[in-house]
Amino acid sequence: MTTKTERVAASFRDPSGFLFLRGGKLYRQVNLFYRPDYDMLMTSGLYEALIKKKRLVSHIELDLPPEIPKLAYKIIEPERVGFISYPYEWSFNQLKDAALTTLRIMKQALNYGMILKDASAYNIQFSQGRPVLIDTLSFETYREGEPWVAYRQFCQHFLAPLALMRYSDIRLNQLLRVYIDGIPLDLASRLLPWRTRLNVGILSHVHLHANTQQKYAGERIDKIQQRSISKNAMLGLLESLRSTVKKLTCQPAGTEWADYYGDNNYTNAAFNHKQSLVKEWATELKPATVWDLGGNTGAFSQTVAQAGAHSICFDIDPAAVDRNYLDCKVRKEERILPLVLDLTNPSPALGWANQERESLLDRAPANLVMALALVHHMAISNNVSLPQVAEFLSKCGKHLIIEFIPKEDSQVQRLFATRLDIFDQYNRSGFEQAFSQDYKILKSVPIEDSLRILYLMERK
Amino acid sequence: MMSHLMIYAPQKFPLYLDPGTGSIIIQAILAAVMGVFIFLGIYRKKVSKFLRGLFKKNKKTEEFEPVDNDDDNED
Repeated sequence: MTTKTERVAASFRDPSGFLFLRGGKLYRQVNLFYRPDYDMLMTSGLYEALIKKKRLVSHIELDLPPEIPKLAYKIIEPERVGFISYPYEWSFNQLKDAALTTLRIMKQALNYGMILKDASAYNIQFSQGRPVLIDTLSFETYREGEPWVAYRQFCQHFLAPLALMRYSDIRLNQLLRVYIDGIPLDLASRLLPWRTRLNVGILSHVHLHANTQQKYAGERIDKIQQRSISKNAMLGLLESLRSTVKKLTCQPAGTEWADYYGDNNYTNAAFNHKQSLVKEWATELKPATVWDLGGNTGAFSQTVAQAGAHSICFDIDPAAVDRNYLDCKVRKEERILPLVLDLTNPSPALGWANQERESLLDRAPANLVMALALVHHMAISNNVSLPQVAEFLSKCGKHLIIEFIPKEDSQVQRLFATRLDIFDQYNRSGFEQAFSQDYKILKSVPIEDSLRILYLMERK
Repeated sequence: MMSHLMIYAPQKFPLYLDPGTGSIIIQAILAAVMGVFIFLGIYRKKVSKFLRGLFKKNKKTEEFEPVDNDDDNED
């Protein structure tokens, strides 16, 4: 009997090894090419030190048939990360923490005579509320004198987007969707305001870096005379990057939803009733994974997390997502991952052959989807018909908790302030009819002290 | 000016990432400058520790660096 195997599409650049799925389990083949570095990682004490600090995913070595035997040194099974997210879905402080983690790992590796050979933001994932490196094969032996080959990648993947988000516009992390190997530094340099040249770190690592790249574009490095970079100089460079990143702070103000709970027509009774229903249903269903769509600062993600679920809390507003992330950090919340997502244009499949980075739906399904105070935005603001909304949500997960907000509600009336009401089908019976095509309606409860109705549904 | 700088070329082992010629050149310059600060910083700490030791002989000494919650200084 053969077990179906499949190479992971994102894992092809590094000849040191690759990821593959076999029988639903994730494995990594370590190639003979990488043997000396792998052995050094495992015997130098660096692996244990990184695991102790929870900065690297752990793995176990297994005696399994390799995927490509002639290249293979070892097969390892890495600890799996719950949900793979991408830097263009992270808020400012998530990207900043991922950057600082990368630098800490690099510094720690240097202490053990190793170095990070890449500094891709895609190698960092959020697991149990913390950024961790998921690529076990990112280390190589440090030879004093040699430069950090991943310096450019670090600046493109982390520093440039952080500086752009801080000094130009918080939404510019979306450039990472277009530029899969990080934001080109000449572009970042052009988009950043002139005053960033007064920031020594950004001047050095972005503006001067971009100028030098341009000056030496196309020149071969081996044509240039040699000079070594001492370990102290390397530590100096890392410290400069660290302090530049650390000093970047961002508090986006005046964004759409971050003040939603303080600025809406909810009464306390309505909010509490809705929360108790969500808690009751989540406790009954015991979902392992929840997608909280339009989850704002995560109030209802907290409710399902308390019921034992891991919740991905998506919101379009980077300020709400950042606030949620920082709150989760303070509470040491390990079950909620806040992410930035525009549901009207969710993350597409990207990269080589459209397979390197998965689309949102490629990462489905969740056990439970929550769409609270959301459907009117999709149906009215974005003119998506209710059957289309139902079809999309049914692809996201099996069970659905959804709130229907009628036209009479003041939040919906706000949407009609500047436009015609062309939505004849947007009413309770139209909603139930539309969702009955894809779902079986299990429960529907009017929310106290409001005009809203909360539904529990199961995909047919 | 930059063309006269001598840079170590990473040619002894295969690289799967292109480090970029300009990136290596600017890195060498910045690292050299910033390495000096690290070097000075080490001596600043030593001198400071020595002086503090002189004046606070009988007191329990505190860490010179503030405690960083993000454990940057723990490694």
